[in-house]
Amino acid sequence: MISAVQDLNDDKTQADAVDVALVQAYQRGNGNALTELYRRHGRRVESIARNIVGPSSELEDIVQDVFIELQRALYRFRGDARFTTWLHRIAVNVALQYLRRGRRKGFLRWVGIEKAETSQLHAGESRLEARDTCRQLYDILGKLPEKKLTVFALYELEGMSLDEIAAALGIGVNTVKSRLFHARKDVFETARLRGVLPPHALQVVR
Amino acid sequence: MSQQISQLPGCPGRDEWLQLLGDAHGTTDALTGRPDLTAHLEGCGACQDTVDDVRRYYGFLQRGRAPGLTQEQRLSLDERVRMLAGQWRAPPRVPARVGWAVSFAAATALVFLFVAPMLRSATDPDKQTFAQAVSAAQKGVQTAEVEGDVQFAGVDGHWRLLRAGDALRTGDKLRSLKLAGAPARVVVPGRFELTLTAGAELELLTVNPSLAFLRVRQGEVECQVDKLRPGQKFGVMFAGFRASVLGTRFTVTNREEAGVAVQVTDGAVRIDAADDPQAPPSETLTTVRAGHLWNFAAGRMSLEPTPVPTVQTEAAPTASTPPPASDAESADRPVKAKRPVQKEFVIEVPPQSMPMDDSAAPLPKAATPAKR
Repeated sequence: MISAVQDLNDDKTQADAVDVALVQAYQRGNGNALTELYRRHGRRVESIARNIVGPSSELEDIVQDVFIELQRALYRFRGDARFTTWLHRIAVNVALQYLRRGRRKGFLRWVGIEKAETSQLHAGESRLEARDTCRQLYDILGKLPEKKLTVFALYELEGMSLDEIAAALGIGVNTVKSRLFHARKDVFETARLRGVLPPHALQVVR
Repeated sequence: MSQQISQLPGCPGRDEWLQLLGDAHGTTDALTGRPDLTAHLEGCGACQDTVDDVRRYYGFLQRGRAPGLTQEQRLSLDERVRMLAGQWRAPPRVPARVGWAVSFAAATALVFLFVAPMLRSATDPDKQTFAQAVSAAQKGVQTAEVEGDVQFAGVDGHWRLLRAGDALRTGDKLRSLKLAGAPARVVVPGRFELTLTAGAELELLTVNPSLAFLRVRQGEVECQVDKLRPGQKFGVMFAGFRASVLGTRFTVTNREEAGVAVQVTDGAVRIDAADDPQAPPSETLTTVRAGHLWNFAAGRMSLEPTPVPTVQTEAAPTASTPPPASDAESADRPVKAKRPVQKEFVIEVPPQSMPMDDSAAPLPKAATPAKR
């Protein structure tokens, strides 16, 4: 077990070193380094963004904007923090910007799910059911204040650790815990009030 | 985030189960290593229902995760990022010397843009501090030349003979002896020159290096004002009116029998109704320009293009439409101030018609400029 954790840490350190090397290559003028950074972290950025803004038709643009912001900021990156922490912070900020804009034009937000990949649907679930569940969840999340929503989405949906969230948002771990505690209660209460937790919804949870 | 549920003999609350299972991402892994909880859960139907609810909730969260991009969208995004990477060029390195030069230039520009105006505004007489205003008032202005018999009274109220070199301060009063033959003359170099006819009396409402406001109480006072520098003001109050100098030199005359008149031979004088020299400009009654005579007598106002050196009009005062006036003293006594060379204006107010209270005496409607 210990050796496995050690290997994992080694992998992390190695990944960080690769990231730093790519950033330095980019700073020297190698544009391909950005493409490689996208290849390595694009999915994660996309995942963070979609868990904050929901199934938005603008997801593609959000990811692109994250990498545009990253491109502008890469020149200033000095390696004081982990690259992934830095990138997550950019992703969260860009996603929140879209979210604020999206709240003003919410009718556009549900277009994306129609094009969802079939593999993303849960077993035995039709596309219509998946769309309905998704809509209900993001309806509920849409009522959350932005700070609670961000923490909740990053932890419950994205699976980031408390430390990672704290670093990405630039807040303390205890603040993350507090926001998560209240967000859980709020979302649960709203879900119950809306009746989105019928008995037959019981599923095997991992 | 994991918390100990201590009251196991009692049922943990729903919020506690919510947090506990949430820390394990909605799984019952949270119960691993907690035989007390496991044992409690097995024997407690209510808690089982609660945990079921919580697990459904977390299942709902998992199923509700938003779908990601389609393959088509992802390819499109790949293409865009590749283009983005290709467009990038490393910014040129700026030599350190250039950086320092730019910083120095920016700092200099900031000083000129922000600091210098602040320093200038600090010396602006209109924005001077209270302490500066007090200091300027105490300093007053220095007379350079005094001809004839002129008395002045300071804060102590004692009348003394004014001599060259004496300072005139705010609140001082000046008067010429009634039996004096020739007019008396007081010269403040670089500022103004006052000529008081016999029996004239005036009060220095404000006198400092920037401002000079006089109130002509009685008699005839001739004022010659040197060119005003930026921030300097010179004004004469008389019988509820204020004459503000827009030029350099002027004369004010106010006579009991002739009403008020302002004659301007050079430049311009603004006339408005105000009793406070520092009051903001009220609605200007008229601006008298060079070669014009403004007259207010018997409740009527007129503006003539004919220059008249000195107003000696024998206008009979009437009380039908009283003009505004500020103090009873000026209403009882003739006041005259005159200005000889560049700008002259003469103001005459019929003293009998002066109301005692300014507030009760707005300017009459008939007091609009009209050709006489």
